[in-house]
Amino acid sequence: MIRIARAFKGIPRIPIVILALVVAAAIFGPWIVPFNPEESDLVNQFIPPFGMEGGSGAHLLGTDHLGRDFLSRLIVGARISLMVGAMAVFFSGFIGTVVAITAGYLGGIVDAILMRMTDAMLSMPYLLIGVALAGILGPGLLNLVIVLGVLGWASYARVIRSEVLKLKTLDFVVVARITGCGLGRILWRHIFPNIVNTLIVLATLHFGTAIILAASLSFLGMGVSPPTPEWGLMVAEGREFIDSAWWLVTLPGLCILLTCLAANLLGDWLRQRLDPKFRERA
Amino acid sequence: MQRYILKRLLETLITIWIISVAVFMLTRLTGNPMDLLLSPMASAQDQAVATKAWGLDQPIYVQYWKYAYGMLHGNFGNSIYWGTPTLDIFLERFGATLQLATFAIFLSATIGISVGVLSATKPGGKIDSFGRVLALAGQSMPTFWVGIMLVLLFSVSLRLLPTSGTGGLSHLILPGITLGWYSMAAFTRLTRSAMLDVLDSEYIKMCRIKGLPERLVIWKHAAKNASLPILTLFGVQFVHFLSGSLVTETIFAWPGVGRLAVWAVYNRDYPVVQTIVFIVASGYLFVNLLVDILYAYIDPRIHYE
Repeated sequence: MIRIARAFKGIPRIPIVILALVVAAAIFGPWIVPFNPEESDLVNQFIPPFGMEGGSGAHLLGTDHLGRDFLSRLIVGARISLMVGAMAVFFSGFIGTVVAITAGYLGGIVDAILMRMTDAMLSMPYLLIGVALAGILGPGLLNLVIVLGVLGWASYARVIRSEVLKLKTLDFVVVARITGCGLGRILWRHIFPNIVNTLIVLATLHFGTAIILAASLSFLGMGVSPPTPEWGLMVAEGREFIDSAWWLVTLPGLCILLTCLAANLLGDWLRQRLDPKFRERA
Repeated sequence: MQRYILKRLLETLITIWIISVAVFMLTRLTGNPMDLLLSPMASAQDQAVATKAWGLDQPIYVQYWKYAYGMLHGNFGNSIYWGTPTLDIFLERFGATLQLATFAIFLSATIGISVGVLSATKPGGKIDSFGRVLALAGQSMPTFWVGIMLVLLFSVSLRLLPTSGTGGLSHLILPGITLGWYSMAAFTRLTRSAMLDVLDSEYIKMCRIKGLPERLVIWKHAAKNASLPILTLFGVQFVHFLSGSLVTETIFAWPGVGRLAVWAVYNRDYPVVQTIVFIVASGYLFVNLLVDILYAYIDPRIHYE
């Protein structure tokens, strides 16, 4: 218990609170929302948020152009953003780690080929590739995750490979090899545990990027399709009514901003804690 | 030195080759490119005719060879929609993108570098906190939202600037800030850390001891040596801007490459998409190569094996 408490000492509180709220909204969303987020109610279009002129206590954050309760849509939207972000991070992290370990440990021609592919991936304009891929694969949640996974792996591969290169010259890996450990055992038991920290930091920082990218694709009409309450899509839908209903474009963006901000702050903290370079300085 | 340049050049060329394969495969991901090229209503006969016309009945390596051969001769294929060469369509839109990108890069570099330098001179000070907030906000705000918030504030509420389209300087301001927003954060962060590293060094202490005014120490002696990583970022960001920000150009109806790309994906004009991806990615690689070589000349401390 003491060890766990010490591990979390100095953790930034605000990001944790924000993330906890978003995660709670994502898990319990469908049960706590006051209204069905996808049900139109054309009598109650464009009700402004509570406290403004014409606002109503029933719709705390107002309604959109189809009269749907905006608070309900925002809450349910958390689930989609978090799910897409987490799955994208998992896919990218998995592909990137496999590529990095293979390239870094085997070296030689395998390394050269994989690293040129990584370079190629990193040099491509990612939003453009994302839009092109999403256009080919078609809209939908799973396709969105695939696109994000394909776009994200290269930066993992680049960073983790350099860690592997350092690790494989260290004594414990050399000894493991001499004592006759199989390749799989060396990679899984000796190399992998030592890159987990880096992986966690990269994943946390990638999480925010993935959410923004997913929202951007949906904004451009290449991600999830209506009437799904996705934050990026909601901003796109609200754009038409920017003259009259400011909350439709402001609030979903604010949700994305807060979630990403929390993830980035947490990532920075983790990096300072887990990265040996920072630890020495402190 | 020459060996290093040669090696980097070779690497770049190999990477570009890989990109050409990836771009070629892009339309073949779903199996039959005809699904993308023709409307779903097309009859079997139309399919057969089109397949023949596009050379899709040949083995895939022959198709790739033809594609690559064409590209080497500046022939990137024709747009399905207009029937004209995709390269011409790209170049036609490039001017607008170049204009916006130039404005955005100078805006973000000027603000970002100034804030970064000032933050580094007084770490923990007011400007440093401001820079920190700026960097975090830049990192965490989706570009499309930044653009829309700017429109909401300056066009809808204050009625100061136009919401979209092209024209004079007033049309450039909002898209310029939107496009430059993220890299402004990057410039701030990078400049701050580069300056902090330099200000820590012995020769800066020497400059101070010999009584140089602080202004000279920072802007002449320190900034010059901190400028190398910033130069890289400048090159990389500029090329990113040149790829045409899809989001910014869509929001502000800017007639550049980014909007062309979104349009082409919507209308399944894949030759256009392929051309944009290939040109932009190659451009990015060449700028990186140039920056690397430039480095070697500027900084005599860097040795390459």
